[in-house]
Amino acid sequence: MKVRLLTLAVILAAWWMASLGASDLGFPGPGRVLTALAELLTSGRLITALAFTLTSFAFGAAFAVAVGVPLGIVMGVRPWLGRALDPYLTALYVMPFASIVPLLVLWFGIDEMVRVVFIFLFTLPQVAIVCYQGAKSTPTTQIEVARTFLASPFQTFWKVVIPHEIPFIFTALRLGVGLGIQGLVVSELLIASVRGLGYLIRIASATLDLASVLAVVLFVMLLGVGAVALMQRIEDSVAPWRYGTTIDSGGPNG
Amino acid sequence: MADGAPKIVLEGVGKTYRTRKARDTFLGRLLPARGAETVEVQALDGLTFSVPEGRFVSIVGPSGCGKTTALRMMDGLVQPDVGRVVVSGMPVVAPRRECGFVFQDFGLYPWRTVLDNVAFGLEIRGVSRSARYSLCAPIIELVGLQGFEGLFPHQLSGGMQQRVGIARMLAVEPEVLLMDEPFGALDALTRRLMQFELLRILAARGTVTSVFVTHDLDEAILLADTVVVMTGRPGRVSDIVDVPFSRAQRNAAILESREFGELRHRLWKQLQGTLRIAG
Amino acid sequence: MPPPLVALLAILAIWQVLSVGQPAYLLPGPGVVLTRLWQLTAVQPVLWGALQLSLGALLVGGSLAFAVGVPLGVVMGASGPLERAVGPYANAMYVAPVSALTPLFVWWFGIGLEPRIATVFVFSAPVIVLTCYRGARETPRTLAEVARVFGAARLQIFTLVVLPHSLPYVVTAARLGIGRAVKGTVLAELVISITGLGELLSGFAHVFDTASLMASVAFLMLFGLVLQAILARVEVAVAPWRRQAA
Repeated sequence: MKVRLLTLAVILAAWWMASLGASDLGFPGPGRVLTALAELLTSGRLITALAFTLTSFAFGAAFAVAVGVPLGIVMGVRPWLGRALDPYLTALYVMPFASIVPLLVLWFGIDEMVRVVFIFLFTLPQVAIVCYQGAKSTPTTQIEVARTFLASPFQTFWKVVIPHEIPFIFTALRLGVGLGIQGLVVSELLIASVRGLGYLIRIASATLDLASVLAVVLFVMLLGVGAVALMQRIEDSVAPWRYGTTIDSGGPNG
Repeated sequence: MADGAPKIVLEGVGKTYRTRKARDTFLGRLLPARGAETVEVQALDGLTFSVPEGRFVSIVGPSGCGKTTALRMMDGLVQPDVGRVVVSGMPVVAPRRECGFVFQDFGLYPWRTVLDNVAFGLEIRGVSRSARYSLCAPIIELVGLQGFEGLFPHQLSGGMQQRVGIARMLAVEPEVLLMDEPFGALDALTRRLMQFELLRILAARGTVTSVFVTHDLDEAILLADTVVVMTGRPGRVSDIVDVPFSRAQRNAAILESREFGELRHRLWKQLQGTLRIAG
Repeated sequence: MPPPLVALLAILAIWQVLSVGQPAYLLPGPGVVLTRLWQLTAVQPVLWGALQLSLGALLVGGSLAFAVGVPLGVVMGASGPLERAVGPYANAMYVAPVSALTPLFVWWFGIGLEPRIATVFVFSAPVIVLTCYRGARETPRTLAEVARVFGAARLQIFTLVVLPHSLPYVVTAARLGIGRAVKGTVLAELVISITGLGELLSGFAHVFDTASLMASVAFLMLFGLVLQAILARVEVAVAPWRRQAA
């Protein structure tokens, strides 16, 4: 713990020093950025923007999860389908998303809908791929055990594949949250929206209020880290069985 | 020893596996795997033996001799390429209700407690929760795990995990017990303990047809009424030896007895020849 | 027929059905888009040209991220204290909306190659660092202990055990890093609206040339896919003992 605080102090010090020897536009030091952050928070602008951004995010991410998780699982248990769709999910995943924005704006305009669609497309591949790999990796022995007890395919699915899959679903959710937040800011930067966090950034940029830009970035970063940590907590409490990285997780003596 | 009708019969069973050879140069591996050579391994060839009802038979042989493949065929996890496997008079095409199986790497579900793992087979059959739990309680006690019902597998030692595996198999009251090197993943001391535990458990259960695969000679002789010796690549039966000890005689002392030593020596000589070890 | 091909035909068929009756500026049919793709790549190397212009920033930014990220990640993974100190911040960088920094880079570096390089760097560095970090950290303890038993010093353990073990992860890092770098490039160009792919795409959007827009997106997808596939092969070739890429 102490080491982390020490590193934080070092980072802040380096930042501050870097900001000293800057050009006339200035590289805002930690002090200015924190002040800007405080101002944004107290004036309520940050919260309003966050609420706006978050609703689109929630819808888009929820859709991505609602579609991606079942899709990934089905791909895992039906290898044919998995092999068929995997390249296209990967293509979606590696595509530079910014390039799709002009297309989406053309199709959906610049209001709520386009951002929801963007988040959906941005988050879906990652979620689906993780769930796919999870379902694919169900240990053969565990499936064979079910077979020796004459479990029906449906029973095997519910009692073996799904429980095995749960940690992967959580990973997918965590990734979804992390990616979704990023995607949101990207989309709002590129789409001329008039509210939300991206809008705040653009306004601040335009008025050369660099401290505020950094403040919002910092805020989103903290938000993302917090959300991911929260998901980790939830995962730990829902799934107390420690999932080893090896197939046979031996006990304290094994 | 009274012979029942054969419960399990293997006739002329053959099995061949094909795999692709991995290429051994960096450039070679950049190319698609499709064109690589395939290697054929004949796991079993003309394997024939039978297991009478009520007998405990152990199959012993060096690794790679196909003994696990033969066992898995008995429960329909693998199909033979040639020949047939018959259990209770009917050819085996899929896992059987009357067969129970114990895996070498335990195969426990990490998200289930000991109790839920043991109750798994009953759950699959649709037995209600309260009925399941009351059926499992005596078995859990039998394998010596009372008090541990609420723990998860990762909290148990290897020996305890395999007890769970055995309890799970016994819970559905199978007519045939199939065990694939169940103690192979355990250390030598625990293994010895588990062997005597298994004897105790099976004595309490009564006679059940059992097939036990192992690479450990002592284990094979200690536990079984009959030992089937297999040689490897391809797997065939090399010898079948009856073990003259009664169930009651099998205890720690018998390991030191002269008869045990002679049996061990005889089986070892068999295997030594196939392993091509000098001496 | 290989499954992906079947899926492709299904996608094209559905697309065709959806596009019937739609005006060309809204949803052109697959035939139109594919023809346009052909025109923009083979007939006139418009897309290739744009890619080339973007390539500079991509290569410089990506190489920088790689050169900095790999050693940082590996050392972080191998050194306990460093990992405890810096770990959480590296993770935080991964979640940070670094795309928001692009306008800032323009302010600081002016319009030119620099803000794009900076964007690419910031986009790809975190994933490279984190992947290499994982690789070094997941070196099985047994392997390190074997070296110690043979009397290896800490540095030797690092070079003889940790580095070779991390090599496949480095290749994975390169693969992921390139993906991120391409995204960073396109994003930077769209935000700044200068030469290269970004300008091309903005141009198409302005005149409602949906077919060209879709063709460009398809081109980028294919480009990314091919790059991925090549690197995935390299990963397998480098480390045949690993069953699956990260």
